[in-house]
Amino acid sequence: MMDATRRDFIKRSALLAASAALGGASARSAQAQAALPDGLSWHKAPCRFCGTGCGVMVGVLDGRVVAVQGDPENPVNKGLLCAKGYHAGGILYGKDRLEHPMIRRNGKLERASWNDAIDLVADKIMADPSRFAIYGSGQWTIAEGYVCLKFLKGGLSNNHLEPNARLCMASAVVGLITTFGVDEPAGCYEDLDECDTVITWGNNWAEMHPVLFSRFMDRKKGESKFSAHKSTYIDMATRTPDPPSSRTTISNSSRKPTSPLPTASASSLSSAEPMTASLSRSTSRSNPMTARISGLTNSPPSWPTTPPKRSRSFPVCRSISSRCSPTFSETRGARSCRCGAWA
Amino acid sequence: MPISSLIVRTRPERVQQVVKRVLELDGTAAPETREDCVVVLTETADRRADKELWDSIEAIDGVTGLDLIYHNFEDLDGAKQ
Repeated sequence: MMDATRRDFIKRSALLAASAALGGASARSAQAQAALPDGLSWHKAPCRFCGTGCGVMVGVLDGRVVAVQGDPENPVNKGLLCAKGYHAGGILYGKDRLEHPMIRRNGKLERASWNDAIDLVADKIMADPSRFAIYGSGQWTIAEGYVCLKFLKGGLSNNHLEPNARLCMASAVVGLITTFGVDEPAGCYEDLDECDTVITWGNNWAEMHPVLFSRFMDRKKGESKFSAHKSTYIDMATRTPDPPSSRTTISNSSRKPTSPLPTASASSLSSAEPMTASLSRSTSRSNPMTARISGLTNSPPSWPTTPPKRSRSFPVCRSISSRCSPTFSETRGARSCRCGAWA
Repeated sequence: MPISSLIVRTRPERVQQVVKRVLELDGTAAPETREDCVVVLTETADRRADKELWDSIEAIDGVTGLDLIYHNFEDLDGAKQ
């Protein structure tokens, strides 16, 4: 067993890192130093479990990863990680991980040497190079994608390369071009630190990208270099099935939808936050930058003090807290929920 | 025995209740509290129990988010000092 001194040492490192993460840049620098005394060698790596791009510090002992922490000097996550990052180290040693080549012989996968596996793949490719393709990943590094492209075009004279990124970006690019005039997200993470208003559509980022959500929560507390005002969060159509139409109005001045627009609502962490908003948007291809948001006010919330009558049988909390699920609302009654936003 | 530190983000008016509930869970310590967050140290038998403990913390009334800061899962039975 690890002795008490070693255990206490690790605990102190863990607490120091967490305390530093709550502070500013200087404290985060201290967090970076905090990792050093625990006897591990620390290395930088990216977390590849989602597209946020968090920096991870990986602690190695005797050639084995034994610890992870958020990189305090990374401008994306500033020392924070989420549950996905938690698995960034341990997943290397998963029992179901493929650790050596396997070749199917007589219907059964058998362990094979690397030479045998590479020879088999090469024989299959060279039998007809024009029929060989690679289906890659959006989590490829640039270098990996470059090598595959060169291998296919320069080596095999074909162009059969696709990544799974095509599935999401084909639709995303259309939406981004139409809305913002560029084919990639038009903002950057620093916008979350300085914005006055954030509007989301069906995006539960507290659950899906909690590191960025925490970053916005810091902004919501009023921590901005350029504005003394607290930020406003307007969440539309993420989890409220049929809220009153009076809360947020969406109008489209240039094209009438053939079917009713999805129900929209505004929500916030605090009932004292501004809630009313209206959004008008032009979808003209000649002037894609005409999207504008108007009518954001600081007036008191306009929704009723009692929950609206709902067509569905379950109540839904309008908080942005992703953990406040309908199930919890049901168990606690229609007038309250776990996070308290319903009450 | 994994050792982890977390920042548990809470609704400001419920931070004390959250601390109380966190300390009721086995393997936790909450040595630092701020206006709307709590630093929590967890120590569990294995990584699965660690994750289950985190889920329990996330399910506490008033918790709005949870950030991992530090996670150590050294082989504690391997006698590496």
